[in-house]
Amino acid sequence: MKSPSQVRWMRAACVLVAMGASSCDTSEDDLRRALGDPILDAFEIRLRGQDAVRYEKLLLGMGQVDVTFFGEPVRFDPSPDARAMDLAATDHAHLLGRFFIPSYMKHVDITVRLDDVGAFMEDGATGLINAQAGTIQFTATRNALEQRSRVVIHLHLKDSLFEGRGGKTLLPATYIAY
Amino acid sequence: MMERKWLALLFIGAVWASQARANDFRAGQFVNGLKQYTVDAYPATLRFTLTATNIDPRLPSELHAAVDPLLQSCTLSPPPPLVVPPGEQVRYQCELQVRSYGDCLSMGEKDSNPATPNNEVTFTSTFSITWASGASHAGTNVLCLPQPSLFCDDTVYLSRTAASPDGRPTAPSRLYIFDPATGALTPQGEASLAYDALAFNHFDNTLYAIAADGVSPPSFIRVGSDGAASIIAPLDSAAPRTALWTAGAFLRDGTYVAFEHGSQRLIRVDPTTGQTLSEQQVSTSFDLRMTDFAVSPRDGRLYAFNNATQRLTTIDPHTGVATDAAAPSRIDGKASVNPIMGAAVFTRDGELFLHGAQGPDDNRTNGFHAVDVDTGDLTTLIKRPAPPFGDGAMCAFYLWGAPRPQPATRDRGFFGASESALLECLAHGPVSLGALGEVSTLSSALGVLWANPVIASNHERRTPVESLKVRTAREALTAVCNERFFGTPAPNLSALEEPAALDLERMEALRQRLERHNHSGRRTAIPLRKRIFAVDPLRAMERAEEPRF
Repeated sequence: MKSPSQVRWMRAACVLVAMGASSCDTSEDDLRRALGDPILDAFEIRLRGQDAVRYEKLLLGMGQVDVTFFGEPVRFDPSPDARAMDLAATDHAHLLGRFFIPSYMKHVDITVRLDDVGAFMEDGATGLINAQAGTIQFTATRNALEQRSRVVIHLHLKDSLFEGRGGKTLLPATYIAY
Repeated sequence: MMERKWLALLFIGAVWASQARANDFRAGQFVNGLKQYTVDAYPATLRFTLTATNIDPRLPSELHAAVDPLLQSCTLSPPPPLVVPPGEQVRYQCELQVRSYGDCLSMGEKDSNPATPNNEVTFTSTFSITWASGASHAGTNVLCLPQPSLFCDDTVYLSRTAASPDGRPTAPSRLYIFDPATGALTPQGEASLAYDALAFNHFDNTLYAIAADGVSPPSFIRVGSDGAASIIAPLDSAAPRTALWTAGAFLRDGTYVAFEHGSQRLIRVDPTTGQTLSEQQVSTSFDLRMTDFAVSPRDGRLYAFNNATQRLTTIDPHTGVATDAAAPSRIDGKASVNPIMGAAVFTRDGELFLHGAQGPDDNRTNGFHAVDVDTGDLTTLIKRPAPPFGDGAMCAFYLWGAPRPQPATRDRGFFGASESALLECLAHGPVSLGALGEVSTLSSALGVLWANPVIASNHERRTPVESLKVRTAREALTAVCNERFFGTPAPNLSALEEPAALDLERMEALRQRLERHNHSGRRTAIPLRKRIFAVDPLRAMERAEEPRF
């Protein structure tokens, strides 16, 4: 079983064979040198609410997403859907965006910061969410990412929102699934 | 032959099952039993409880790693990798000594939360666990204050005590801060004693109460900002030792006064020593049942809701003479059925508020009410189901020269959710944001306050420059509204007027300064005279108009 990135490199290599420039068994490093910029694999980052309990609506927006490899930033394209995500709709995993990595990156560090203020409706009453501490950080391995080309952050709403001054405070309790 | 095949399959199944692993863990974390804990005295001990729960009801799960970068001084024992049986959890305890306020700040510099330290959260601790196919995280916030955190403002303190099966009060008693703008109840902590008759002493900005459970002799106690109780002295009273003291308040002269329900006794106590200064029977010609009273800063009398007659009652704290209002209190202009009010507080402006407890007319009783002290009639300000509270407390007198709380501020969420606050801000005229434009209407102000920094409302991605403009404009508008609404001076915004304002570094520095300022006074209560008793962020979001920079 080959990983998606390997499949793409093999295809690229075969194209080069057809052009007489190389052979199909050329190593990836040789190909990278031959091709210049490597072909990148795209992976999605999604956010999904869970255990919504009495929340009829729970809106949070994306603040900033950083994907890095040993501290070096990796290209990340935010999704328009991440502007205001209703996490009370627990049947939907909202797309935060996609990041792109070459095959030699075997893991990435992902930091998701939500916008600092959100809103909720619970039992018909609305209120504010203080999401300043809503930073979610984890490391994703390529092996795990390649299972479905995505990582889904499950935010357990029941365990993540607590009464604070002026509204609810978000302290993310998460489960990372691939 | 067939039997052998089945046996072989069963054997393979048994071997497979013995090695099967579930893949469902959940991380959990608490600090001193809470998700958010406040430290205001040093040294302090923080007890972190970290859990990894196998939430699969049938299969064991193998925990690969467990780490909390901020608690590296602690050894997690037993260390992963380890197998957790189905439905069970592995629990780690970690004690952290915080020697000083500076210690706390340095932890905020080291933690994983880029927003800390700030005025609301000094540091965030994040516990992470991993297993074969996933990871889970859980966090706690710690707020460290340089000094004891209670100030004389309009903060509403509410206490609640558990009840034993025979109806007696029993530990723990829990302390909350109630936010009348949102109805939010923030737990502050709990005491291992059952107490009632909570009151705020304006001389030392400390809460006091009487611990009584109907069995042990009552004690006069101090209640810390973390909800913990410390006994000052046994209460010296002629009331029976099984007496339950239900109402408490501080008089202008700094003496504590409390009421005992069964014997109808009124007692005055020196809060420094806990010694009884005087004691008398309350004189009435009617039934008197009250769960709390508050002292008026205007006439010095004690005001209570008489649950027996459904009238407002006043008591002269020096003579013990009680006077019922002429007529039963009406709620929102209508007669009510046996309402029970649990907590009473007076502001320094002389306004009385009651928090309803429970009763046959729960729907109208439960909530926060303003009281017309002349007629005894109630106006519901915020209606939200809440557990019945034993008592309420608030600072009723301002002492000249006493330490003042940080000038009040609120973040953009408050102005983006409170239409009346934002309208009051805009009533002073358009808000100039210099190079970032001008805000003059409600919808344009909401548009700035609710603008997402990454994606515009037309779904276009913002560039880094546009994103910074959004973040800066939000904070600048909030700072101006804090000045106009609370009277808290905004930082100098003239930098936005200069052509160099759009220099990214300078703009980011300004944004950070504004953000710190807008969060600096969030712990100070909104004065109740401001009449902010509702916020509706969802409605405001719908009215927001995308800004143009």
